[in-house]
Amino acid sequence: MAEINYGDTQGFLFSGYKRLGHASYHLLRFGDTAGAKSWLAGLLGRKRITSGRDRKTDFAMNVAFTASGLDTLGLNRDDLASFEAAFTEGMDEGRRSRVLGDVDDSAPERWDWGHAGANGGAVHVVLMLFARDARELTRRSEAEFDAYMHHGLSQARPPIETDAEAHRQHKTDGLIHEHFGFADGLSQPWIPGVTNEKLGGPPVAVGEFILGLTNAYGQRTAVPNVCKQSFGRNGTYLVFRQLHQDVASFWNAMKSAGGEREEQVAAKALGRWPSGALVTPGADKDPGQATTGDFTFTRTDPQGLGCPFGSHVRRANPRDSIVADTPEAAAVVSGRHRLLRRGRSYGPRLVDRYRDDGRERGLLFLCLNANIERQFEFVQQTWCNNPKFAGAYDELDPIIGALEAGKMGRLRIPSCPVRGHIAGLRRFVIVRGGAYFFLPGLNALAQLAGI
Amino acid sequence: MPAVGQSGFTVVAEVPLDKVQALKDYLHPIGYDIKGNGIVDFSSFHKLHFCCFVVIDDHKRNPGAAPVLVFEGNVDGGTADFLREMADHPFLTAVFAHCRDAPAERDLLVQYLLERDLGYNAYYISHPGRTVKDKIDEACLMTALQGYLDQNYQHLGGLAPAAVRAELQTQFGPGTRFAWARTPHDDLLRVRLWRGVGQRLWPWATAALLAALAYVSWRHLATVGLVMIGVLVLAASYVARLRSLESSDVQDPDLWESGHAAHARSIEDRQTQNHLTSLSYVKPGPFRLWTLRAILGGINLAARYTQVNGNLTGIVTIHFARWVILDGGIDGGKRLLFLSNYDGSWEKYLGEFIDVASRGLSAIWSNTGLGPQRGFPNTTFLYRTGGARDEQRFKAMARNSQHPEQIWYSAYPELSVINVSNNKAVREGLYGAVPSAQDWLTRF
Repeated sequence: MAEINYGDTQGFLFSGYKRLGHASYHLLRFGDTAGAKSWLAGLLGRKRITSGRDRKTDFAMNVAFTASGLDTLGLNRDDLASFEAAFTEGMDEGRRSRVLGDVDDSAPERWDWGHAGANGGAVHVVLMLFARDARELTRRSEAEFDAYMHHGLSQARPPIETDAEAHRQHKTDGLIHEHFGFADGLSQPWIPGVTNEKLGGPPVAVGEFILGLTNAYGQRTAVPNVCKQSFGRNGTYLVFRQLHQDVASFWNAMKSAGGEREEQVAAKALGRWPSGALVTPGADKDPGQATTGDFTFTRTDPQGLGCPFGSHVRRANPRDSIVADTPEAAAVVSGRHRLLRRGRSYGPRLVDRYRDDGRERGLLFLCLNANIERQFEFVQQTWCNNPKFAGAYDELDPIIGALEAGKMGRLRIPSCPVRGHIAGLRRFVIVRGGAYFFLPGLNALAQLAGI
Repeated sequence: MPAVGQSGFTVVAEVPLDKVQALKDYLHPIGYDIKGNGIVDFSSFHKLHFCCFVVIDDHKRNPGAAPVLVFEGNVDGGTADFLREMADHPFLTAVFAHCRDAPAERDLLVQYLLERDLGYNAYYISHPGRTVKDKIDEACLMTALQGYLDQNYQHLGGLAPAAVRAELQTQFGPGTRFAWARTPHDDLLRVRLWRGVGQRLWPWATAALLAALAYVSWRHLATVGLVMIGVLVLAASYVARLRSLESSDVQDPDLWESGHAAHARSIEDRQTQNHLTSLSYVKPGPFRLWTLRAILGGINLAARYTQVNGNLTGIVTIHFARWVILDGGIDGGKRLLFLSNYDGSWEKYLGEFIDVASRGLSAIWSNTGLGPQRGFPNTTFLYRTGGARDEQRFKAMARNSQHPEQIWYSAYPELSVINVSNNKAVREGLYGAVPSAQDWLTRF
């Protein structure tokens, strides 16, 4: 694509580095402005930050900053005001927590990181490392640790490490399965120039993910300024949430709802079978073959008899079935709320899925978007956590819905002549930490370092 | 029982500058805890659908404008009757004691309020003819039916759809507490006319009208010719003036929200419905003002007679919305107040406007702005390009025109417009005609 500047944009936008199965995420605080700048200058000087042009390497590293991080790096109030309000206010702001469902056990006050009151203090910067094997990752992590400690940075919490191989199920197509046991990462938007055309579906404008380029409205998203210069060009916003998954609670709930048919009940709740196959009308067991590429609902499943209207897959991306004049128009509207997901599972797999072992496991949810409120927050608030989604009365997303503590959720399962339902749903996913980051282009990084 | 229509009042009362803060301090704790504040229980006003109290103090942007209290109400039956009932409660007297010249005595207070009721230039009601009681009763019926389906799913699943419906008719029929559902709900005359006749016949009626006009023109060619030339000349000069104004209009350069917009946002999303108060300045000159009045008048007619089924030209999330033209603009001009009670998030609401109704929106708001040199995103021919479709600029302007309300009340915070429409269809379909029993059963 003529417009995309691969050399100036960080590689994380173009690739989740799937070949690099070992990753670690360092959540750090700056000591002072001078130290922050000299550390960043060092990083750039050693040419450590992976750009879009050299994303197919054997080791990748990318960096992003929170609003308070940018503030410490020397941006003034006017500069910060040119960033999106969601970013400058932060993920843990009062009303935003309501909107995202970060309440009760998931409230920011209880987070391990990302909230100013957490043990390590507020997070300023995230440094993400990706390597092919564990030894390489450890070697690089230690090198970076020495570098940032030398410049006065500190860890807001110990780095989170992930190993993709632990979640790859070789028996079923070599796909990665998340902790509940379902094949993950099957649905990404096709963004010409960024992701693969084989993903299918209508193309999504690249400006929905890279600032300064044309977005889904045919306009250029306004780019944040620093000293009145366009600073945010080729940058984007990174949403990062550490989501703990209560696997035992989930499978016990599925068992009480469905008995022997617990896998079918779970598939109805998610919208896909554990293999990744889409749930289609009439199917009552897992076909065993993942549904890759895009699909639509209005022709094959207009009444939700396969994939229920309130299921997670249908909520996270309604595709052509949201309220609009025609399915084509609906697809255009859906296309304005897409996310480029880059997350990975973390923590050891639970041996007996009905008995919790007290260990920390779940999903590191990361996604990239140019407009946080219209994309990420919209999907959370207006689709997943919306009790009125698709004409429902009081139902949340059965997998990630933010049910209030002590309240039981339900999911309507359309069928003939009368609908069935799943009851006894609880909150299965708890937020352990999170923040909104800005992932700058390489020139912008140089500007921040004061070069 | 004959259907009861809904009406809306917009009382705008001046607040002396030294009483503005005291008024906000009085209203805020009530709005913060709408159910348990102990001063007023809005649910005791059985005819009240939605109401809101908002103090608008714009004197920083416009030093000439006096601060005002806007009291918006959406009620069953007539405005005067409702205000008389509400004035029996000491709450109204206490609120308006902060306003200029407000009497304390009840009858005089009601008169004071009615004198200051500016009504509306355009008003949309999602379900005209459905009272608060109707909506809540039908919601209860729906909940009971759902519960029955949950408990009896095993045996109902083996029946034919018609048999399922017959069983529900028996279980919820005469002798039960839902016996009232058997009697069909009377609709307002205009709703019946549109649903029964207007919706299907309007293309024929238009064709008949055009045929009649053609006939008349044939018979009186010369006169009609002159009239048409006159109309064309007027239209051309209107368009020419519009384009010249549009070319010289300056749109608000701000793409970002100002600080006070954050306050308006911080009180949203405490439940699944939200309220929006937007105030903008009508661009100077009679041309813009009269264009605005004409468009709002047209929308008012369309809303009243044709948008009567929970759907405003494709937007299915608005319960009640109105536009009111107020005084107090810059240099003696006017202001446009928009008040809306809607479902879902602000981001979704505005997104819907942009995706579905951008033309109407631009046609209205392109005649306004936040102030001189801060106009609505530029348009051509009122709505054809730009305007609401300039997404970021439009949303920034919408946020910057918002004022946070101190009190907002909803009689049914758990019901969306789609829920109400669905409950209505379920009640009507329990005994009334349905396309098929299975079709009716998919509503559950």
